[in-house]
Amino acid sequence: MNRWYQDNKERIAGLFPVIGLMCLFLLFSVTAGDKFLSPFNLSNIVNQACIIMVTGIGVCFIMSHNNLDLSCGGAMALCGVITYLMCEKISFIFLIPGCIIVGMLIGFLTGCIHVYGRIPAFLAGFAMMSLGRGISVISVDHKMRTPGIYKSLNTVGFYIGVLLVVSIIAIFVMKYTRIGKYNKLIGVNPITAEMSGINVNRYKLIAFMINGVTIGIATFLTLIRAGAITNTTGNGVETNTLIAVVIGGMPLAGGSKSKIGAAIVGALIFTVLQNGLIIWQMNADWINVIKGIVFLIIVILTVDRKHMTLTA
Amino acid sequence: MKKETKKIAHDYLGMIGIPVVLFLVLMLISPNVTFKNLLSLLQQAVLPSILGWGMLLNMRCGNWDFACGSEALLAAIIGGNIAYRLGLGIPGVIICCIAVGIVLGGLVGLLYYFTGVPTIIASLGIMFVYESFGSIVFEGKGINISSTKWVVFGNMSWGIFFAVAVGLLAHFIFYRTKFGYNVRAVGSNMAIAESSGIKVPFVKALCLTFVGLFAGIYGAVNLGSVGVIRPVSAMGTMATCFDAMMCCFIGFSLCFGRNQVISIFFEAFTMQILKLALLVFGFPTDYNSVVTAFFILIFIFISNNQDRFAFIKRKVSKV
Repeated sequence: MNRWYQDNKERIAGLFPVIGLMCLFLLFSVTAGDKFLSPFNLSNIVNQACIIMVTGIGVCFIMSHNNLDLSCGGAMALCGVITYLMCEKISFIFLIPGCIIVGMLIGFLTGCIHVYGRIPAFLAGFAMMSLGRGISVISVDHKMRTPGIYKSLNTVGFYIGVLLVVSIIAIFVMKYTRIGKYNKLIGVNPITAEMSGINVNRYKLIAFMINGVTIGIATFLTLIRAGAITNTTGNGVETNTLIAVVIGGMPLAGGSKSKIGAAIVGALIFTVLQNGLIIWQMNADWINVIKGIVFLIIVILTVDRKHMTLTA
Repeated sequence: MKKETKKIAHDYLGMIGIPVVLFLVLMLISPNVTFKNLLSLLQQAVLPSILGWGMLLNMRCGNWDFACGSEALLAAIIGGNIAYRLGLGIPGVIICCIAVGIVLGGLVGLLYYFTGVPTIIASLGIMFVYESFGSIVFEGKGINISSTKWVVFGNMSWGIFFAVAVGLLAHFIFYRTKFGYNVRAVGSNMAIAESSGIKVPFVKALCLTFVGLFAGIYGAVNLGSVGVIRPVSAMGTMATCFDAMMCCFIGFSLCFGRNQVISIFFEAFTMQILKLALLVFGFPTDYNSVVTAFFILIFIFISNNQDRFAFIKRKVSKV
C-alpha cells in the first residue's frame, strides 16, 4: 500500500483540485439548492469561468518557465481600446482577428521588456497593467459599444466552443511541441536549458506571445459579454487568474509539473466558490478576503521553495 | 583629505543637482511654474519618501513587498478610526497608525519567516486580503477626520518637520544599527552574510515588519494631510507601492555611493517635478501611474544592463 502510494503520489496530488471542485459543487448544491443549480446560474458560472480559463491558459505558459504575469487585466483593457479604435476606422469585421493580433503584440512587447531589457517579468507585467489601465481610463467613453452583430454570440455554446478550441490547442502545444517542453525545461533550470542548446530568450518570448493571444481572445469574450468597453474592463482579472491557476494546481515555480488543466479546473473552482458564496448572501468584500486566504493557503501548501525564483 | 571632501561635495551636488536642474528647465519652458511650486513639490515629496525609506530596507535585502500600499491604507483606516473614536488627537492618530502598521507588516514578515513563501507571493496574497479588509472594517466607510483640527500635515512647516524626523529615523535604522548593517550585508551578498552568521530569513522578515512601521507613518501623514481615506480594491494600492519603489530605484541609481536616505528624498522630489511636467504639457493625471511604471522600467533597465553600457562605452572609446 505504502509503495503504491509512493508510486502514485504525484497522480493523487494532481487529483486534489478536481476533488476540491466536486466537493464545492456538492456543498453549494446541497446548501443553496435550486438557486445554485438553476440553468441560468450554471450558464452564468460557465460564462464567468471561460474568461478566467482563457487568460489562465496563457498564464500557464508564462508560469511554466518560472515567471509571473500580472498584466492580464490592464493588457485586456489596452487590447480592447486599441482594437476598438482601429475597427472603428476600418471595419468591425476585424474585431476578432484584431483582438488576437493586438493581444499578441502586447504579449510580445511585455516579453521583449522582460527578455531583452533583463527586467523581472512581474515588473514588466505591472508596467503593462499600469499602461493599460491608464490608457483605458483616458480613452474610453460611453460610445464604445460592441456592434450588434456580435451580441448574438453571447451564448454558453459559443463560450464553451471557444474554450474547447483554445484548450485543445494549448494542451497540444504544452504537451507535444518544443514550445511547451522547452518552456518547462527552462522552468526547471534555465542554465541547463541554455547549455542544452535551447534558445531560452526565444522560447520565453513565444510563451509571452501565446499569453498575449489568450488575452486577445479573453478581451473579445469580455466585449461580447459586457457589450462595451468601459474604464473598468479587465479590472481584477490578473488577480482572479493568478488565484485560479494556483488553486488549480499550477506550480508557482513552473517546470515539468506545469499543466493547462490547472487553469481549467482552477477557474471552475474559483467561479463556483465565488458564485456559491454570493448565493449564500455573503458580503463581496468578505468573498475577496476568503479568495486571498485560500490563495495563501494553497501557496503555502504547494510552493516549491527550492526552485522558486520568479526571476528566471 | 581635501580631495575626498571635494568628491563628497561633488556627489551630493550631483544628487541634489538633478531635480534642481529639472525644475529650472521646467521654469524656463512654462511661465506658470514659479518658486511657489518648488515648496509645494517639496511637500508632495514627503509622502512617497516616507514609504520609500521603508522600501529601502526591503529592496536592499532583496525583498519584493507589494503589500506596503495596502498596509498604509489599512493602518490609516484602523489607526485613524481608533484615535478618532477615542478622541486622541493627532498624536493618537500617529501612534495608532504606527502600531497597526507594525502589526500588519509583522504579519507579512511572519508569513514569510514561518512558511518560506517568496516575499513577492506572500505580499501579493496579503495585499488581496488587506485591500478587502479595508472595505469591511468600520462598515467600509474608511476614515474621515476632516471636521476635526487634526488635519495638520497639509501645513508646510509641519509636513517638512515630520519628514525630517522620519528621515532621521530611517537614517538611524539603516546606517547606525546592527540591523541596518545586517540588511546591507544581506543585500551585498546573501551567501557570505549567511556564512558570517547573519540569520538571513530573520533579517528579511524584520525588514517586512519595518516597512509596516513606515507604512503606518505614511498612513498617519496621509490622513493628517487630506483628512479622508477611502478603501481601495483591485490592486489599487499598487500605485502607492510603485511610487515608493520608484524613489528607491532612482535613489539607488543616483546616490553616487552616498547616503541613500537623502537620495530617496531628492528622487521623490524629482518624481514630483516629472509629474508637474506632465501637467504642464497637458497630460491628464491618469497618466501618472503610467509614467511612474515607465520610469521604473527605465531605471531597472539601466541598473540591470551595466555590463552592456560598459561594453558600448569601451567600443566608443576605441573608436
